[in-house]
Amino acid sequence: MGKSLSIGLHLVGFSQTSKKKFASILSIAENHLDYSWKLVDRNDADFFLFEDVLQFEKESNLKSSRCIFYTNEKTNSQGHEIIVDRAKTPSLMSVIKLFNQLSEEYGQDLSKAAPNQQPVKTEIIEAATNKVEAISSVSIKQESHFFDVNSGILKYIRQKAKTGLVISLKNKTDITPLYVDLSDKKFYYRGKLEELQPLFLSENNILYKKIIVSELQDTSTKLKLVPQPINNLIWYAAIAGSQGKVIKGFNIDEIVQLKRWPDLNLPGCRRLIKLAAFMHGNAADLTTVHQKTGIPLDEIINFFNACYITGLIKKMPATDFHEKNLDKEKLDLVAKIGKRLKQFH
Amino acid sequence: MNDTSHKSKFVFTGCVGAGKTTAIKAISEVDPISTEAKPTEQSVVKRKSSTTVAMDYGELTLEDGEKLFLYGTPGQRRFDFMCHILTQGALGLIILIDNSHENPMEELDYFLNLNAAFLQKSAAVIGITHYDLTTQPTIDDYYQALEERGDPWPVIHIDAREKNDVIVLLNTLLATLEYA
Repeated sequence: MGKSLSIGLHLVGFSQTSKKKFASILSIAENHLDYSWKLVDRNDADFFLFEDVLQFEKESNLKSSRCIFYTNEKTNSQGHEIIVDRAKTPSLMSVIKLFNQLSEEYGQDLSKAAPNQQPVKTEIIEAATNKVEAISSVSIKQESHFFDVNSGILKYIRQKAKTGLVISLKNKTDITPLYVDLSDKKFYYRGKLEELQPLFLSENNILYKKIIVSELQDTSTKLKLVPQPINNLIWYAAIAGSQGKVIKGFNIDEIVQLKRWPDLNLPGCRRLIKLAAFMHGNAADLTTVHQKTGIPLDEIINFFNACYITGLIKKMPATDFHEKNLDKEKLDLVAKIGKRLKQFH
Repeated sequence: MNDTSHKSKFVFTGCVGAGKTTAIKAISEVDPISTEAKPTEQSVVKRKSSTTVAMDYGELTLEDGEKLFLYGTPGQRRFDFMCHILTQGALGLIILIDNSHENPMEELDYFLNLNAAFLQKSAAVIGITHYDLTTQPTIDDYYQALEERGDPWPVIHIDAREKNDVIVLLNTLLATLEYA
């Protein structure tokens, strides 16, 4: 059934990168939304999404009921919030849940404004409700509390096979295909790994096509694609796809440590250097890591999952904190240098 | 500048052509002072027309006006003694390895051994340069080598010309000092 109502959303204070990220997530969420949400100019907007709450404080004429905010921590506030990670990537489930809630409320607002339309609105809402229930039941089935590495794209790229795969998104021609050589454990992609994020968030929209290895190699040569280790792809699939859910089969109370540093050039790693340093030097459960470092637990879980699946984690029998012999003077110096380096950004 | 015993200093070391001078230039607030001359060692003559003979010097200003000094050691072997002088009292060490060198792994071994006494008490980060020219050895290969040596240092490939890459190196060193 086509969506008869379109809701306009204006992004306030977004950088180009953030806009692209949000647009990607919105396009994946589309199939699960009751109404169609479109990115529009300010004058056509029904809702306004703020990357930074400080931007809202400058907007005196906007009703807070029509404003949505990025937040990186779940709060009990009554405001409309979308959960994002430290890279400001919005959680897909958070977007779907909020937008469907707002669509229902917005639909009710419409009925108050134009009572003659009520019968149509009722039909839409009933249909939407049914769809919400249908989605909920599917969601309950599909939405696990755990990150399952044996499903989705990870299932395919981790398999042992003597074949190649061409992986793409349905109806998305702006994302070039990903070529995976399962026999040689390499992958080929024209752009940056981060552009593949929609693949790791959208289980139902992915196309997999088997291809013989020689044909894959011919294609990669023709397109001048450089091979990269498949572990880099697996890493990124885990860190982008985990969405704060711990890996299936792993007990969050288990004590773990990094066997070695991850490749800090991988997407998502550079902003988690402190986390990598802590987990390399200390053995602790993930909640304790969160308490000691102050890094949000869902980011720690995403990072842990990526390290775990690429063989970088060892389980430890007991907590072990490595007490550094840095005196206060040196610790202060380290802090000052860190602040100075931040000024470069 | 004659006094190199500042506590607020990082030392960049590594093989000739790895990018030590370039890396310091990328982030120093002041135009770095480099002491260069034509190389004399045959292995270096093949690689560069001029090379650092005493040290490179750059600086960053911290809050309260305190300075962070950035020193670069010469790459030619006959100036190895400068390493011991410059690392005295240093906060940490950045070892740059040119991945396009004939034997980058041997170079890594060499500089880790040269600075072994310093690294007993402090920390290092290893920056692999010219990774765009060749990805062999891989980062995994470097980690494998470090594991065999029992060394815990992080490895990251960077472009020494890029300020952001050099910042990541320094942030990694700071994180190692603080947490690892």
